[in-house]
Order: sequence, then C-alpha cells, then structure tokens
Amino acid sequence: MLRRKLTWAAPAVVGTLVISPLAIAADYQEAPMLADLVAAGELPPVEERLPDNPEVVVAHESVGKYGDEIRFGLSGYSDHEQITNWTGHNGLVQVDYDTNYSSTLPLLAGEVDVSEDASVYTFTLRKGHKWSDGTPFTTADVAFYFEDILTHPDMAPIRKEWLPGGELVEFKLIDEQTFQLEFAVSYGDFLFELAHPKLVPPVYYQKAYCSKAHPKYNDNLEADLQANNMSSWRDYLISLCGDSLNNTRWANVERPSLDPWIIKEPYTGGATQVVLERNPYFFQVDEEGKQLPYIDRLVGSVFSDPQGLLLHAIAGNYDFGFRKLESAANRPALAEAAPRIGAELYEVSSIGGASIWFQLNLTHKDPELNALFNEKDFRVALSTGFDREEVIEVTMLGQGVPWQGGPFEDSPMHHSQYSTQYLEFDPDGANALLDGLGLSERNSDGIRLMPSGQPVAFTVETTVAKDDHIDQLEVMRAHWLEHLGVDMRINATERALMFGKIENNDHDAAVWDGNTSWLPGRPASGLAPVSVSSRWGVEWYLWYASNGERGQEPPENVKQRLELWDQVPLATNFDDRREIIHQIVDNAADHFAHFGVSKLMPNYGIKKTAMRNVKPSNPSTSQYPPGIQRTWTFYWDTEDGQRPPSQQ
Amino acid sequence: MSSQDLPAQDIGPKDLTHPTSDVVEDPRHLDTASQGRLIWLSFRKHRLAMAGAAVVLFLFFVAVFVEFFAPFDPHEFNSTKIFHPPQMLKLVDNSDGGFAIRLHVNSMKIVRDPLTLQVSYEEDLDEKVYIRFFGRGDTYRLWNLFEMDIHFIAPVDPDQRFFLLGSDRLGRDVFSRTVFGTRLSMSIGLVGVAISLVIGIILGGISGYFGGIADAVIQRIIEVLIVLPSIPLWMGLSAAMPTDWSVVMRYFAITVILSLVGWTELARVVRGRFLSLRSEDFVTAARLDGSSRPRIIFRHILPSTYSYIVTAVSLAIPAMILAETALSFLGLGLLPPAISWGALLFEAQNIRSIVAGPWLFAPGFLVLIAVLAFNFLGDGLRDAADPYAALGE
Amino acid sequence: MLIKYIIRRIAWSIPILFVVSLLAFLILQAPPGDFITAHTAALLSDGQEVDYEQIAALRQHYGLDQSIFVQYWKWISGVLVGDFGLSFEWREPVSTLIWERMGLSVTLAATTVLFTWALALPIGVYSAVKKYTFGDYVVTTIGFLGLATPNFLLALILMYVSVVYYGLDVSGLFSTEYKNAPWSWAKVRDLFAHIWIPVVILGTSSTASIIRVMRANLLDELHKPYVTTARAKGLSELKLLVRYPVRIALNPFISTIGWIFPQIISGSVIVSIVLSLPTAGPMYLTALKSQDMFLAGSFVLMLSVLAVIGMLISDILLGIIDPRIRFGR
Repeated sequence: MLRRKLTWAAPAVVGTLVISPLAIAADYQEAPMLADLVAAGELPPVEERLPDNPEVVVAHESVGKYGDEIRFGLSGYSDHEQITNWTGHNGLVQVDYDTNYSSTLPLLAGEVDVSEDASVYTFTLRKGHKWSDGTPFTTADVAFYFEDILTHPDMAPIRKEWLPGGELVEFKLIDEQTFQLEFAVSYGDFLFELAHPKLVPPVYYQKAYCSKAHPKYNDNLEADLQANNMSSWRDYLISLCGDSLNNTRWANVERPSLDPWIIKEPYTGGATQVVLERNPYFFQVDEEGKQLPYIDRLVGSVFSDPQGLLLHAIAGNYDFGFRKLESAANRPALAEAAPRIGAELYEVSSIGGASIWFQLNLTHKDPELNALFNEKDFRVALSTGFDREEVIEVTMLGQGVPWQGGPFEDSPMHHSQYSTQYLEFDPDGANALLDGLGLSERNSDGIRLMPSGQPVAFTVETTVAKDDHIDQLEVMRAHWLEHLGVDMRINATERALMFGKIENNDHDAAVWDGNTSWLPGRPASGLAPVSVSSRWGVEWYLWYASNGERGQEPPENVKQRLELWDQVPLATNFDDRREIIHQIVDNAADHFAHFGVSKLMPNYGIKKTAMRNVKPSNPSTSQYPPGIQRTWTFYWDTEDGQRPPSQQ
Repeated sequence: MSSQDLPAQDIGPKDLTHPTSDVVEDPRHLDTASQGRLIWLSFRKHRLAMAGAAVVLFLFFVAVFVEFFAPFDPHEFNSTKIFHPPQMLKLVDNSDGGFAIRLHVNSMKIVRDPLTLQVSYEEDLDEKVYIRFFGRGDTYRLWNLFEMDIHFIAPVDPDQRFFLLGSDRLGRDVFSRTVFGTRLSMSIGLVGVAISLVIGIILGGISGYFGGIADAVIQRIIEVLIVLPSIPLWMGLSAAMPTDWSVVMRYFAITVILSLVGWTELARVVRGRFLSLRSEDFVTAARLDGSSRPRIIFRHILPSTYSYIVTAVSLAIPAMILAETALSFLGLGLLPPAISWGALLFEAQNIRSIVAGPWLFAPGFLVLIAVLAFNFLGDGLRDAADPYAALGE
Repeated sequence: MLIKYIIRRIAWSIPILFVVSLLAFLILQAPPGDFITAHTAALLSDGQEVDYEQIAALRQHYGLDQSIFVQYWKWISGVLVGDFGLSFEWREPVSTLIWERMGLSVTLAATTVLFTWALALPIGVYSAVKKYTFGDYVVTTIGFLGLATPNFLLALILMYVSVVYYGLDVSGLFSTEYKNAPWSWAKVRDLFAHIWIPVVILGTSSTASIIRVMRANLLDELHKPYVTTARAKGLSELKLLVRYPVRIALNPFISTIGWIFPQIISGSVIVSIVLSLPTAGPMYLTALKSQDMFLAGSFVLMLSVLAVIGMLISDILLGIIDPRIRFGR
C-alpha cells in the first residue's frame, strides 16, 4: 500500500484506484499526435515527460482509445467552472468520489503524511513532475505562493482556511520535493479544505513565469506595468497567471499549467469559442501505462442565452454535461432529442438539501416584521400552512418528497428532526398559531393584520433564472393567501440585484438552492449564520465575521451554535466532527429558522452513449469540486476512437 | 372646412380614391355639415375601419368583463392537466349510441413519464365535458364589487375542465389567462402610448414651429434622452421601485417612465414636419390672415401630420405590448401573478414550449389581431380626417 | 452657414456626452450592490464561498469603496486620454474588449438598415399608391405579423427548427474555423454568409414600421396640388412619384436616422444573446448586469457618440433633402 493515512479518510477503498507504478514504469504509451511531435524532435519522449511515479488511474470502465475531441457548451461570460469541470482543479489532494466524499486522496502531492494530532502535514511532490512547458514542478513553486503571494500585504486578506484558531499556517521547505504545513491547532478538516478549489493556489502559480509580475523578482516592474497598461502588480499577476477561481484562469494561453488539457483558444471577454488541447506533460497514466488524457481536444462554444445552450445540446454538440442544462424544464426537450443525437439522459444527484430553501429575514430592519418573523410560531404556521404534496404534484410532476432541508437518510450526517419536522399540511393548526400571535384581525381582502394595522404581507426575493423556484413559490403564495390570509409577493429580479438587496439587509425573505451536506469544506449556512448565504441572518453573519465589530449581536441560541461551529474544523476524527455538528443541528432544529419544500431530486443532463468511463451518476457540482469524474479517462468507443457525428 | 386657403377638394387622382367611397352623399348636406360629422360620414364608409373599430371595442369590452368571459380562474393549478393540448368544441354528441346536439369537448387523460417529464394525452372516450353558455362556475367579484358566478362559457358540471387553447406548464387554462391578459394589455400599454403621443406632439410642435431658443432647449433635452441608453435606465428603475407596490402598480410606473422617455421619436418627426411646413403658402396665408398661433398649429399644420401620427400610434401599441416581453427578459417585466399578453408570451419563450406546448404562443395572435384592428381603425380615421381626401367623389 | 452650423452642433455635443456619461454612471450605480456583489453572487451560485473580509478587500482593490463621483472622475479622466480602464470582470483593458464587438455591431446594424430600407421603402410606396387593394392588405398584414412577433421568439423558433429538422446550427456570426481566426477575406465572406439570419430576424420588426410610415407620408403628399400639377404637365407616374412626394415622404426617416444605430444595437441585444452573436450586445448586457462599471460605461459612451453623430447627420440631411428647412436661427 502506497498510501498513507489521511486523518479520518477511509484508506481501504483507495487501492482499487491505484496500482503501484513500479510494475509498469518501463512501458509508457502516448497519443499519436504527441508521438508525431516526438518523432519530429519537437518533444521529449514520453518517459521523460512523465514523473518517476505518475499517478496511475484505473478508469471506471475500460482502458480507452486515443483521439478526437469532446464538444461542450459554455453559458455566458462567467462560466469558467464549466471548463474547470473538464480539467479538474488539480490541487495537492482530491476528494474521493468512491467513498461518497468522506475521504481524500493525494493528487499533485504523491504522498501526504499527517501527524497524529492533525496539526502537521507533510507533502511530497512527484519527482520529475513537469509543467506544461516542460520545466520541473518543485517545492520552489509552492514556496513562491506561501512566501511571496499568500502573505504579501498587497494580497490581504488571507483566507480564513489558512488561519485555524487565528494563527497563520507555517510553511517549511524541506527539499525539492518535500514541504510541511504546520498549524498551531489540530485541524482535522484541512485536507478537505485543501481538496476544495479555493485552496488550489499553492500549486497553481509557476514561479518562473508568474514571478515576472512580482515586485520582489522583477526589477523592471514599473516599465512592464506601463507597457501593459496596468496600475498594480496584482492586476499584472492576474493578467499573466489568472486566478484559479475565475475566468482569468483560462484567459492566457501562455500560462504553464499542470492540468490534463491546456488552453489554446482562450476564454477572454467576449470569446465565442474556447479550445483546450492535451498537456503533453500531464502526470497521470492508465493501468496499461497509456498517458492520459485519451481525448486530444475539448471544444466549448459560448452561449449567452441558456436556451442557446439547450439548442446546442439538442443539436448533438454537447457530448457530456449537465451544468446550466439540468433544469427540469429542459428535460422533455433533451429526452426527445436523445435518440436522434445518440445520447441518453444523465443523472445528477445530490446527497442532501431541499428544492427551495425559504428564509425569512430574522434581522429585518422593520421592528414589527422583525418581531413577527422571529416568532417561531409564525414560521411553523407558514411551513404547515401550505400543501407540499400539491406543490410537488404541480411543479415537479409528482417527483418529490416533502423535506425541510439537510442531508438525506443515507448520509451519516442525516438529522431526522431537522429534515422532517412541521412538514404536514395543517391549515387549522397554522391558523390557530397565527391567531395566537394576535393576528386575528383581517382586512377586506381577508389578509391578516398586524397590531399596527399593517397587513401581514412580505416580499420574497428570487431570481428570474430560477423558473422552478418561481413556480413553487406561486403555488405556496396561492396556498398562504387562501388558507392563512398571509400575503406573499414574489420579486424575481436579476441575480445581482437580488444579492445586492440582501447584502444591504433590505429583503423580507429570500429563496435559494437548498444544497446541504454538512461535510467538511462546506460552511453549513443553514445551521448558523456563518456565510453570506445565510440570508436568514445577514446582520448576525456580519457580527460573526467582523468579530462583533459590525452587524447585530445574535440571540443566545444562535451564539451557542456559532461557538460550536468554530470547533468543527478542529475535530480530528469523523465521529467527533459529526457529534459537534449534530449538537448544532439539535439547536437549529428547535429554532426552526427556515424551511424547505421537497427533497432536492435528481436532475438530468445529457451524455453521448458512445462515450466511455463516465460514472452512471454525478453529484451536483455546486456541492462538490468538479473533475471528480476524471474526465481525462473519457474516450469515444467507436471503431477508430473518433467522435461519432453530432446527429444520426 | 373652415380653412380658407385650402385648395379645392377634387384633386385626388382616380386610382388613389377610396374604394368604398362610391356611395355618393347628397352634396347639399355636405356643404353645411360640421367637421365632426364630415369625419364620421367618411369614416362610416370605410368598412375595414369599421371592422377594426368593432374589434377594438370588443377587446375593450372583454377587458372590462374578463372574469365573466374567462371560464376558469387563471391562477388555478392542475397537476393532471399539464401541457394539455387545445380541445375542439364539438356539437354532435352520439355518446349513448344516439344522436344529440350538445356542445361538448372530449375528455383527455394524462400519461406522464416521470423520468423524461414528458406528458401525453389520450382521449377518454367514455367521458365528455358538456359545455353551456352563461353557466355557473367559480365565484368572482366583478370590479371588486359584485359577487357573481355566471361565466360566458362554462362546463355544465363546474368541477370539470376544458381547455380551448390548451394549458401551460402548471396546468393553468391558457384561454382564461389570455382573456385575463386583455385587461392589462389593453390598458397600461395604451396609457403609455397616449402619454408619449401628447408630449411628443406638443413639444415637437413647439420646437418645429417656433424654433430659436425653445427649439434649442427642447432639442437638447431630446438629445440627452435619446442618447441615454435604455437598458441601464430600465435596470436602474426596476431596482428603484418600492417593493410594497403591487406588481401592476410597479409595471404601470415603469410604463409611464418609459413613455416619458419614449416621446422623443415622435417629437423629432413632428418637428421635422413643422420645420418644412411652416414656410408653406397656406401657413403664411393663415398667419397673414391673423390666425392665432395655436390655431395655426392645431388647425393648419397639425392635420397635415395626422397620417404620420396615426401610423406612429398604431405602431407604438404593439411595441408597448411587446416591450413587456423584452423587459421580462431583463427581469423587469410584469411579475406573477399579474397576467398580460406580453407576460404570457415571455413565459412561453423557451424550447420547452416549442416542444411541448406550441399553443402557448396563442397570445401572440391576440397581439396581432389587436394591432391590425388598431391599424385599420387608424387608417379610417386618417382618411376621414384628411382634408385633401376626396369625399363623395 | 452649414459649416458654422456643424461646428456649433459639435460644440454642443460635448456637454451632452458629458452629461449623458455622468447620468449613465449614476444610473448604473443606482441598483443596490456593485460589481463585487455580482461577482459574489456568481461565485455562490457555483457553490464557492466568499467571506466577508475578502469582499471588503476586493471592494477596496477595485476602488468601489470610494464615492461614485470619484470613481467617475477616475474613469472619465482616463477616457479623455484614450484609456478606458480595466474591465473588473476580465481584468483586461476595456479597449481591447470592445472595438471588434462594436465593429461587428455597427456592421450588423448597417446591414439591417440597408436590408429593411431596401425592402420596405418600395413596398411602402406600392402600398400607398395601391391603397386599399388586396396587395396593400397582404403587405400590411405580413408586416404587422412581423411586428407582433417578438424578435427573440422568432430567433428561438428558427434555431429550433433548423437544428431539429435540418441539422443546422444558425447561431453565431462565424463558422467554427473562423471564430477565433484573424481577419481575412475568407472570414469576411464567412461573416456575410451568416449575417443574414440575424438581419432578417431584426428586420421583421422594423420592416412593418417602415412600410406603414412610408405609406402614410406618401399618402399625405399624393393629394397635394403640386402632384396634380405635375401630372397635368404629363410627367410619367414613376418619375412623378420619385421626384417629389417620395423625397418629401423620406423626411421622417431622416429625422430618426440619428438614433437608428444605437437603437438597433440596444434593440438587438436580446436577439444577439439568443443567437449568441459576437456583437456588443451580449457583453454590454453582461457588463450592465454585473455592474462592471468601466466596461458598461464605455459601451454607454460609444452608443452615445453614435447617437450624437447620427443626429448631426440627420439634421444636415434634412436640410439637403428638403431645402425648405432652414438651419436654426
């Protein structure tokens, strides 16, 4: 066993994916397009391009054939995630698909060692690992990030993931392949955080190339900045090397990278087509020693309109994907087109969450609404005052199960009370609760009145892009009006306007996606106001994030949860972590701050039937880092490995 | 005609005369008829214009009594009737082996595919939905005043449903929704057009007739308004609207503001015409004759721009109705539960509707009919008001 | 006289552009939130997390924590020396982003105008001369059908039908091989092989208006004494029409030429989005939505310049076509 213990990972499963590289080291194969370049003397032979211990991947189905392209679609100008879905983020470690994301595996680091108390992490890079320009990838590149970028005052603030317990991580360079990260406290969540795209930067910047933008390494910086029309080295760094988390990652074709495909036709402002080509130095091989990826080229077309993207799929030009395509409204059209384009529906599932997550603003500026929303009875009345079964029947063709939120039953994090309380449709009980709150007066339209004489009316913010949310809200609105005498208005605007309003705490209520897993690396914004997604307690989050300097101090029960939340990342084993989380959930379930409608049911994208090594189902990408499918093992199962025609 | 310097009326070339003007009026009556009567006489003979007027009046009538004309509640969801195709009204009923004349539709049963979410319908031969005029259905409060339950067309059994124009993704009756849409589309949009029209004519007229400082100031205002790009303006507006206004109120406000910006085109054209007409002989003659300025503007110059104004109005109406779909595209249009033709078309503008429910585009035909009706009505008015058109030739 | 007039108009347009750019900047700023809000929204939608401190730091970095007037001044003073600033979203100079797209937009707009005028003006004349004939009703009805169909709906249906029934992809302005290729004759030919679809779609709505306006204007003229006089003099019908009435009837088109370009560019935004055209529209709207201030502001400025130039040309042409109009006083 080559693997080392990864805190509370489940190492037993790892072996199925990886065989000892020593068995095959002598006999690597490469794609024909690269073999031609090697023969022409433009590229070193494959043995020299691969590290001494390449990552060996056993593909989901079979060893593949080299060749041809995969086509996909991009939605608009900030869909860089779509590209990263294909290449993977490629950090030091990765989350393990096969253990349902409850463990991590090494990736760019060939080996990871964790101290007993989970405070010291030792990473060993692969010897002979090279960037896409053929220069070695070493700890010098990692050091460049930790010493010159992360801690540079111009780059403040430092992500809180690097500051567990309030102390900055300590970087120790040991040799060309080895470095250590040391934390002041036990940090059990660290590898999961590290597997997340947000902590990719340590292995993202090639020092030789990116240091051209750094004041410490470039003596001519001022002149370079002027020549490039830039005002700060930070902007210059982004224009050269991009940011691993946004569009700029794909904007410069010259940036050396470690990804399976490298960008050839860039995703810059207004691009209509993006092309990626295989990285001749990619560090992974299959079990027969064939260097990955199998597919030569990825071709993405950019669509400004989601309907255009759908048409691209219907035309057979979207070979595999679900992002921006998986809306239930698209499914009949995709299903109808599938036989014609040689494709099938492809399931995208979630391991937890609700179809919509309904959050009243508990820190509302208006004192009367604030008081009303903070009455648990009011929230319970709303939750029991509409018929979830009918919402599911009407808006989801009956495909749903009433659910308040939280991970599903098969998840170890599942919490029954949190997910299933107050689901029953009980208009009489709900009305009794509302009467009990002193809302028994009604106006001529039958709307209940608050003590001040104002009607019980509020506006829920949503966005035009989420038509399924609007549909569900419409049914809820009708039920509340009819059964409770509560007037909800639906305000569907542009996403940025919605977020702007919420940021200013000007919203009455909001709905958003209800994905939840409570797994490491994900803030549980429903359990406590710990992220900007906690729209039910904007001011409380502000108070938490600014250490009490701004915002409003939350009530005692919320404060307790926040204190517990700070303990979560430090837990050193899964059971301890789960224990703390469930303490928070017990408290949150009693508080019942927000509610859901139905379980988040699987959505469907599309997959060409001739494409191999695609796992039968994919978890939704907004919950898990992309690239988990190992898209670089995909290939076309046709006679010559060529892509079948778009339409048959 | 009161204007002294107008040329004789018999100048129209033969091939340009009115095809319907072959009914010769007694010339003696014409000599003494008032201008309003002359216009009416002329208008009455324009058959298409009369038809247009009838359609417009009918649409307004429907708009006033939507609750009565719509068979069902336009907001009523029905999970077993999703994307229900339109049903043909049938008269001959031989269900019991016999033969009877009863208005009905054949009932349909839904077949759903839970994976692909495709629905299809099979005709249910055993069940028919019988329909009658002036039947009883949902109760409603007409104009929020009168409690009623009589509908123009309704199923005999109030629990049954029929779909003359099919149903939408939530199983709502498209026919009822289209009828309800008439109210907003035939009111708010028209108010917007009217505002633009009044401002455009007045400011354009002043600018063109007087010139000088008035012209310069108005032109600068127009320039700023024209140059100011519309999309950011809309976005700013939608964010600025108070959320406690009702959806209709908000949309009305947006319409008013749009029309406060939208008069510029008309004003520029009217100005252009005034510039060229104010030096014409007949205007000079009127001026020398001592006519007051308003009289010159409104009696002499303005009538010669009628054609353009009528056309501009008949073009502005569909633009206003459809502006809503464009606004909705930007997330600024009418929000549910408000219903208008534009909002209905916006809901329908996706691939799913093309695949599963082409009947959702029905409101588009209503827009077309309304537009044509307004246009022919406008044509008739223009011809009738045209001092040069040969009357009774 | 004319030269003086032109100079005065140009002098006038400078304060107008200034006022409009400031107004636009204020309006862009009016909705709650700023670029960072939009940026955060995008990240959150992708399942990323952004914390409060980072948001504050980004705001400071982009200068969004300063007052709107300071931001405006920073931008406009750069514009005066030809520097349009950096796009927040793309971290690229705005000038590298917009020129090609504006160029394609103007090409599209110009082609659309030429197409619709060439099609609609003769039909309008026909429709006026043959008033209330079968032909008149047919063109009127077809025209209004085009007007009553939302452009993007037409685009969507056209795309769907061509994809499903003919296996053709009609979106975009270039074939795959030319999308990112440098400009060449082949690419220009490719452009004109694709441009007719958006031109036709955009043309459907304006064709009806032009037909109707032309018809109405001409009808006003045809009854006038000079037409009869001319006819009496024995001028042929065609010559008679073209020499005077049609010329006069063009007046309203000339009056509106001023904003026809900016209007088509704004009006084509949604069609451009649906058809995924590489024109200014989609980027303009994205910039507006994400409050990418310098990019959006620059687009607004470009559109304003087009409008101002257009209006100037329109006023000069009015004078040339119709000598009765005197320039100002």
